[in-house]
Amino acid sequence: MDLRRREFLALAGLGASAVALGGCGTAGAGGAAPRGSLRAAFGQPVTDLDPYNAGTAVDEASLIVKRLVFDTLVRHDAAGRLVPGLAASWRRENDTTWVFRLRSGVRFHDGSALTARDVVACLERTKAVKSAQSALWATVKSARADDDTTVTFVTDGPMGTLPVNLTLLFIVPAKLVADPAQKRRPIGSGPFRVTGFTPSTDVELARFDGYWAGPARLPGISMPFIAETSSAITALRNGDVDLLWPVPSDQLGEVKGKHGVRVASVPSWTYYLTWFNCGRKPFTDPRVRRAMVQALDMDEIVGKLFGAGAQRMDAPIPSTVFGHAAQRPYAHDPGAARRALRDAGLGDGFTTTMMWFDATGPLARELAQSMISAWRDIGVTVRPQSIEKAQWLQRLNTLDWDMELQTNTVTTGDAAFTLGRLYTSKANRMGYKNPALDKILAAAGQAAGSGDRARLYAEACRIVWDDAVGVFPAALTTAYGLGTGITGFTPAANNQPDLSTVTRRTP
Amino acid sequence: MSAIAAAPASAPAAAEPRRRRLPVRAWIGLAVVGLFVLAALLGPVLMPYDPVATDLPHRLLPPGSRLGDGSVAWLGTDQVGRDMLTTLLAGSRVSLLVGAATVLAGGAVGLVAGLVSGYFGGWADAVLSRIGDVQLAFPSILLAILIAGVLGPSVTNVVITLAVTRWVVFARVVRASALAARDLEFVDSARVLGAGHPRIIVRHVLPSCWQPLLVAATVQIGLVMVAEASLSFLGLGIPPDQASWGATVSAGRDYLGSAWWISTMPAAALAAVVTGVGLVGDAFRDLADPRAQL
Repeated sequence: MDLRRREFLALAGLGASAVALGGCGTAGAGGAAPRGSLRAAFGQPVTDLDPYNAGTAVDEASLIVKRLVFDTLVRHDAAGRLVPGLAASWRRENDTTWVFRLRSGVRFHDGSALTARDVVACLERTKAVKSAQSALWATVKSARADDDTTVTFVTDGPMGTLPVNLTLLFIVPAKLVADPAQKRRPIGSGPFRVTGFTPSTDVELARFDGYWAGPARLPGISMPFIAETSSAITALRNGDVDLLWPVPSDQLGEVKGKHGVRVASVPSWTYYLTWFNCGRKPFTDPRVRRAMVQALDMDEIVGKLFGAGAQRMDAPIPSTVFGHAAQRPYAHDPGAARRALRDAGLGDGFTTTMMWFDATGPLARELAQSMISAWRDIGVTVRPQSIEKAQWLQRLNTLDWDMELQTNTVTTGDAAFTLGRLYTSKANRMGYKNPALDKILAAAGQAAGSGDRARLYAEACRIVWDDAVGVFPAALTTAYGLGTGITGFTPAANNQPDLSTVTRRTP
Repeated sequence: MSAIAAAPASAPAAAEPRRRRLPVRAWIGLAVVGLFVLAALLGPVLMPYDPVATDLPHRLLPPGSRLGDGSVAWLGTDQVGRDMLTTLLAGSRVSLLVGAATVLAGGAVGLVAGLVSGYFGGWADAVLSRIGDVQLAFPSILLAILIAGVLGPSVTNVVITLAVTRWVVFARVVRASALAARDLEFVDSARVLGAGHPRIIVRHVLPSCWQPLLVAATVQIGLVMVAEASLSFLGLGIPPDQASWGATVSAGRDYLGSAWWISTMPAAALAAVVTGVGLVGDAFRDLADPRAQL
């Protein structure tokens, strides 16, 4: 008996020490990031860090890290204005020529100097890789380095969107543009350098002391991916992570007003959309598409489901984005919707499908269920297809769907990124073809003055809205959960906050 | 050796223990399982589950809340305002259906495979047993995830998937019984009298396989229900337009801190039913296995 007790105690001790060691392991995790690092958790995993990898060219999670590790010629400030980045200044020589003057003395993480030739190599690389960014660069004919600090872009016709598009061109050394090592340990010139990266698990960054704008305040940043929302919120509340975003609206109550945590919210450039495949019957008929929109009680769906976490949209892009113009909202009127279906020869309703992947955004499944429930009331049976992200992406790009639900972020904060990139007949992303819209979008892309551009995009908003190319339910409000020791943080509308200005007081 | 072990399984010995009283825990188990079967059969008739309807103004209400139409949501509502009790009842039907169908399908395949390999032996036995060994060496839930991932979510596919992962268990039990029975004197006598293999298997070997097979089946039903819930939890089981306890637990994960009832209710129901099935299986084994009385 005695022996057994001793055995038991030994086992218990072993177990306890294992737990303790395990605990140490988590507390000290991120051995690659220096002490005092900020621990920041975003809701989606980072899978790749190479800025020229086709699959993640506009992937939100990887863009967050890329903004910290790389520089761009132009960037957004906290208010969303375009400000100089690597380029100290730029000017438009004539309709088709832009000249950018770079800062001198900028160095990459490996110590080599950043010159105009690196910028040219990066532009050529991004044009060569076919990705979701391709449409943005199609009208840039060439770039040339006149000297070490001058780059000249020549465009095919006028291109007013060049500076805003350049916020997405991440500069790496010319010799590394196609180097596979960039996927894991990329070299850039940003305020932080990568010291460790496990795809879909965590990213470890350390301060780059040679940064041209002066070293960042934080010694490093550690970005773990926490898949479970409830675990992530627990981690925030007990101080395991200092920053968590986005906090889903249903979970805000667990964070707001709790000790040691505060919440900063900002209307984001991320919004939900449901496209109709306009090239497929019965969605070829705009009357059917409008009837589908009329069937939805958007105020109830958005208000009850998201609460303070989203705003009902009144245009195909969020109201905080450049080029937004408010449209007349579709009134909730199932009777009119049923009549419209009858006029379109679909009096008995029809059966169709809608695909999405659950991680696309907060409450995606619930939003889908609410819409499907409303559509049944006008006699339309929508079969839900909740599928994997990879399969969803493949079907989306091959137009193999009837309806689809997703979130989309206007990464640049400019309508050119969504309206201009997605809705042209040539892009053919949802089967919608309208030569009049093509003409307006082309003119908007070429216009230089912001007044002209705003007017043209307002016209594009109206066409997309009135033709009901899709349902545009809600623009999301991003809630950032912050530990109280964090100062200098500005919430970013595109979900990509600038963490180089943040300081962390150790509690 | 085998003659001595198998002899008590004949009629008089099996009849005798049935006179013994069932232990209390067996009655509890029976009550839980009875309630579950009743709920699965009648529940969806009384409270029809509508997978499409949503009621957003009444989402995330705690148990006992009153709904807009005056009714009471005894177990609360979920994240799109559906009544949890209705969802649970619909889920119980899926659980029962999948549990019963899988055990029937897997049991049938296992019975045939076990009889063939136990009775004939030789290369058929070698092949079937090795396939079984290979499969058992592989974690069954991993195999189920693999097959379910390829087939896609649907009730039929879940049954197929789980039957594929379970047949070995039944085949082993039947094989052992068939192996023991085929060398008994009465089987030899039948053979000497000129009876063919099919007749011997069906009339003389099969009867001694039923009892162990039924015991195995009661144990497996509980495990299959857990496996179905696991697959649905992972999104590989029941499609989203049908209720499943596993899927409901999964959907409620994000609400553990604010609306605990969404995950907790189906999890508690699953735990209760599986424990109940286990208790009943235990009692049944005690009754069926004469060695348990020693």
